[in-house]
Amino acid sequence: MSDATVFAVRTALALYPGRYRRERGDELAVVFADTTAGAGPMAKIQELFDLGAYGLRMRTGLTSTSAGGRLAALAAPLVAGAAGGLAAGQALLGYLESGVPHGGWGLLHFLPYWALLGAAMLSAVAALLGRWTMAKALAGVSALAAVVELVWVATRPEVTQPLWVFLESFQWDGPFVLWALVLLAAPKEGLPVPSWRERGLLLAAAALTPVVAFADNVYTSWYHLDRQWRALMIVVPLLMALAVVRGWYLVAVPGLAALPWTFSVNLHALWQQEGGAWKLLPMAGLTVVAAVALVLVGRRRGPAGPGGRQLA
Amino acid sequence: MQEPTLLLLTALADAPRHGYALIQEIAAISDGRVKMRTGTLYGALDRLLGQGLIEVAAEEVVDGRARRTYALTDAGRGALATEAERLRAVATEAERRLSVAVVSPRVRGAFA
Repeated sequence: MSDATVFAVRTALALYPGRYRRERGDELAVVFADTTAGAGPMAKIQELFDLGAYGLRMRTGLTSTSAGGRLAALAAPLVAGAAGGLAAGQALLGYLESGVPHGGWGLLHFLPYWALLGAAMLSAVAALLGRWTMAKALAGVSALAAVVELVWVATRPEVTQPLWVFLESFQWDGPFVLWALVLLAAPKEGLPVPSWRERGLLLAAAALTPVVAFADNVYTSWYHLDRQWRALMIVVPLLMALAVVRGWYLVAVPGLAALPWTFSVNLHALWQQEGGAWKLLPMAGLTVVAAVALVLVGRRRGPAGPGGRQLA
Repeated sequence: MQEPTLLLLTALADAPRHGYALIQEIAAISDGRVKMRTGTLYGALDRLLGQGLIEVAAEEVVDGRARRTYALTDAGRGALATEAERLRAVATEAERRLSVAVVSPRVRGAFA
């Protein structure tokens, strides 16, 4: 291997947890060297990416056998459905309010927004068909378009308060970024071959999410909802998702699926109602303390065994 | 059982093998269709080790290079046999139905 390749392999191996790297690093490097002997640069890059990706999954606890990876994989049908359903709802709402943008500046302005909605809807269809690689790729496109849209909106010359505008737009675009991260975090081998149950969950999430999102007009009526309810809408799904440390997947899966939307939609309102992000620190601190306590209790007691309440 | 798992267990069915040999065997069994990469292979190996379907048969240093050899456990052999039987039953049924199928002529100009 050339010096550059050796450096690249060492960098990829550095992503692995130290103990695993000490035990298996040499073996992985040997297999990499044998596999890429005589291969072109593109094949080597793909092999390196794959080597590093598994290390990153191990480091972040997102392998198919870890609780985090299993949680993301089990939540994937709900997440894909929720994103697709909310995208369809937003597209319909946008069309009814503004119609289809026509040419020039208007079209350019709406391009990232419509790209994120279209990609999210197609991602849900791909997930429904069990095409998870395609679903993840489209979710990634959706997230990328959302980021472009957020930056675009917040950095317009006429904007005087970029953070306010960013957070205001985040309540619309944020869920798609966070849902995409959950889908991308799900290990491929842990994702289910969709049965009627997974398809039913996906379609139910797709139908329910826009109904919940728009029925009470959560987006525009932030001043009608007390901040403690807003806080609870974030804290409850977060604690539900953290129940995964006890192996309670039946609780954790809906928590994780709901959290991206509840977090995004309430962040701006909480920030605005409190009059500044720093005033949210006590609540955030309490949430972190509760989360850490839950994790520590979970670790002390160990994960739930066969008797634990699990979806799968 | 997902295809990569099936291929990996099949590659170990006749003899214990080390990492690179497994990649070559899987490519051969799948007629070149599946080329498992290093990270993906070790992800699958770690999972199967955790499930008790495979085990480390030997750890050695060959030409100054670390090498582990993996082998099927009894549980892995049983899981592979069960999956092979299931696939055989599906294939048999598919062949039976194909042999009795009535082929209807395609109608030109009809809507699909």
